Amino acid sequence: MSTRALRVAITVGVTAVSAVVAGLADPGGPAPGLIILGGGIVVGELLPLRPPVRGSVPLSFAVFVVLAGQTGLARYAVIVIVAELAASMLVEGAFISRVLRLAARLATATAVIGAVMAIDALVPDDTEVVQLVAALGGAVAALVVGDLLHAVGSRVRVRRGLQRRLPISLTGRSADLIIVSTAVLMTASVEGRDEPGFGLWGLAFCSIPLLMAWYATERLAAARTTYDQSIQTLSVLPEIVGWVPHGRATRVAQLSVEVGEELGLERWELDRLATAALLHELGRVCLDDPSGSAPDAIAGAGVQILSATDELSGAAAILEAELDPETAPVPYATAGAILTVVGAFEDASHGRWPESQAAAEEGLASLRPSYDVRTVRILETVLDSARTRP
Amino acid sequence: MPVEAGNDHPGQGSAYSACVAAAGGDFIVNVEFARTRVLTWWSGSLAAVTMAIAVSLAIAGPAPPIVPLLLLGALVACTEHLVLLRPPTSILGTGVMLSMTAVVVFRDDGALLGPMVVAMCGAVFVPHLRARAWAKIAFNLGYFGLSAAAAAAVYGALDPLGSTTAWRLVAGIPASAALVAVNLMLMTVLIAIRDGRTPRRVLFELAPGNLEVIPLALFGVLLGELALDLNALVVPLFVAPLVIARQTYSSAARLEAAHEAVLTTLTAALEVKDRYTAGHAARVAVFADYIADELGLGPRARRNLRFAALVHDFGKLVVPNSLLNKPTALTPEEFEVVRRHEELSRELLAGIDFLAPRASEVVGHQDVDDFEGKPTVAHVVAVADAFDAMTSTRSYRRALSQEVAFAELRDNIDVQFHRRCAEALIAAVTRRGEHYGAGYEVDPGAWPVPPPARGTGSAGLGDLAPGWEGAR
Repeated sequence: MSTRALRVAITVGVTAVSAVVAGLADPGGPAPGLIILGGGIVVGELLPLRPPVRGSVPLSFAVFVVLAGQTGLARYAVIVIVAELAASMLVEGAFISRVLRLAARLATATAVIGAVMAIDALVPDDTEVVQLVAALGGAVAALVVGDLLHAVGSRVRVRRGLQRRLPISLTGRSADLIIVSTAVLMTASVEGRDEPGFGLWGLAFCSIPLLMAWYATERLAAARTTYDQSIQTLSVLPEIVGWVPHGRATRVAQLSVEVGEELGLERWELDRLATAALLHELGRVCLDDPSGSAPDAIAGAGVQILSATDELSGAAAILEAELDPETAPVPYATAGAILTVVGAFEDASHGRWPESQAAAEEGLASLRPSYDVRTVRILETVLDSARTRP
Repeated sequence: MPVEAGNDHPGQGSAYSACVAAAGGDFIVNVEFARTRVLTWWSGSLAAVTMAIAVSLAIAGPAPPIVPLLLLGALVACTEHLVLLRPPTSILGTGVMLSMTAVVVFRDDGALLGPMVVAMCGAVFVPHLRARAWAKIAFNLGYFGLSAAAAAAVYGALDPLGSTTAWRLVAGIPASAALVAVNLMLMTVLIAIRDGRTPRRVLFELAPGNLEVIPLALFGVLLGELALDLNALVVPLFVAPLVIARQTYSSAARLEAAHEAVLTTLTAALEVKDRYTAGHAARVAVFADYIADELGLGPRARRNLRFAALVHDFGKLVVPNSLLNKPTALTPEEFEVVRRHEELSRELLAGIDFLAPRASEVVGHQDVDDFEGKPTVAHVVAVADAFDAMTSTRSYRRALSQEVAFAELRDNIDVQFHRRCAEALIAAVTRRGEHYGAGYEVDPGAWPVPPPARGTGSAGLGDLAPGWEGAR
């Protein structure tokens, strides 16, 4: 059993025992239900949704919404604080990151109860529609606050981070849709309508799609991690052998992506450019003289290898655009030009540009006579920004 | 529709698997049955009977409430073709679940008509409409409609016997069974007609997959109770995360397949350097999968094993071509260069999380000396690698026969190979009726310089060739 599975199992066990004890001590009272919701918060923190292009979204966001609809402010605060403290002890990470995470969660939970109370205050009727609207408002508030905090916490330049994260993108917002729909559904099932309804059994039943979605995103995250690690492993192969300086692939990839961002390339174009940069030197493995062959031969061999699979064919097209920029299709020509300039800069600066301004200057000076002026200028801008970045 | 690598359906070649395979995994019957008159008449008759029943109910009985009807019908039409789950022998879509939801939701008004109409919306499959596959559409109309009607009839017969939620949930069990039974019967007739087989045999093959549908159908009953308690609008809220989960799961499967394709490409790069090992990594991966199948390992373990097998020789990418193809024995210095690829492989694999703990084992599998207990990744790769090495022609020696290779595996159990792995591979290859080694190689004559019949190069194993002096 994995560590996380063990922690989830312990949490569920402790919650169940506590709920039973509370039920015996206070039959028919709200305590067992509130304890179960508290346990749900802890479990939700251990099982975050990790969609591809967004920060992780803990399942506890949905439980905040349900809890906000079930109890008053004081009890809500107590349950959330206790549950989040318990979760902070169970999640992995350094002490400071756990403290920051706890603060972020409490801020999110505050936003949820605030939104629910505000909607209830604005619409005094206590109908089921109002309850569902309040749940919807609470879920949206949780996601917006969580997203903002993640953007800030990622230490991306705030203005650029907000510009990238707030625009609606279906791919990135699938996790939000899951949380919102499940939160509303759970609230509705627990509240019931004319009959008592499902109560907490409804909560359990309605968590099934949420857990299935969690499993699917975990599977995708694991596949993405393995894929990225495989690409990274292949990128360092020429470096391990000593054909190219250590760290070259990563430096070229990082710098190429930053130049591409400045040029306004889309996320998928940047991913393809990064892959091409990482695997740029892989063609050496096919050559009889891996360390002494001409750049064109290396790129050509790389094109042959990468074009054999659909997934890497885009990266292959970028390498091909490097070889023949005049005839390359437009989507690849720009990326190819970026890779050419950044690769030449890396070679001219002997890979010392991250720590030596003199090396960076030397590299830029060698580029100016021979390469695309606009790309060189943007490279200069990116290097200046990197120096001034905290 | 993504097919998970290695997720072979049991009974491969059975009518149901062929049906599923032809459908690309769609739960809607997308069989490519020949346009025979019998099948056409069968489909048309089914659709006609179903429509007649539906029209009669519409004339005779109370109409189901329109909003839930439209809502559930639209959901089924939009999501029926999306496979939700893939248990071992079946594929599950939303249609079954939502049909049972409709059975519960419409139990007071339009108890039969409502579920029939909702289920028949599943026949609205855009690819069929584009292709004007009217016979398929007709069959699906009857198939879905009659199944839902049967479920609704059973549920309706049992519902008045109790008034609690618990009883209604229990009544959902025989109703789900009725849905599955009618599904099974209609599909059996279709496949029996199409393939010219006995219905009994077809039924035996289809039954396990259909039984797995029952839990999903019961889900639908629960969802129906929830919709009755609250509002039918909660159904989309329940289905939306399932659909997103399905799409995400498909993305993961596609990425895993792409990942494997990337690794296969890299092995192709290796083969450019050393054509004598052309296909080696891919064959080792196949043999490792055979062993995993015999050992009963799950899909994730099999996937990890295939990956480990594909990458176990990656370090060879950095070995000079001249050494890889050298026909004579290597000098000690050259041997050290070749062995260095193992260190590099270890270093490379350490960068991949799930392989890092086992990197040394995978790369140095020939050095593993503990053969007690459960087989590890290294044990499996060692057997698969050795078998392929023996049954492939190399620059220093021609392929040995499969019998010699099997004997070598058996003779070195607990010395070089784990018993369970060796026996599993021998059993798998034998059961599949496959042949490797001398006489069964692809393009055995396509060498620029034919290698010696028996060699003494590194790992030559030439002394195992029958008739060689000193053979064991």
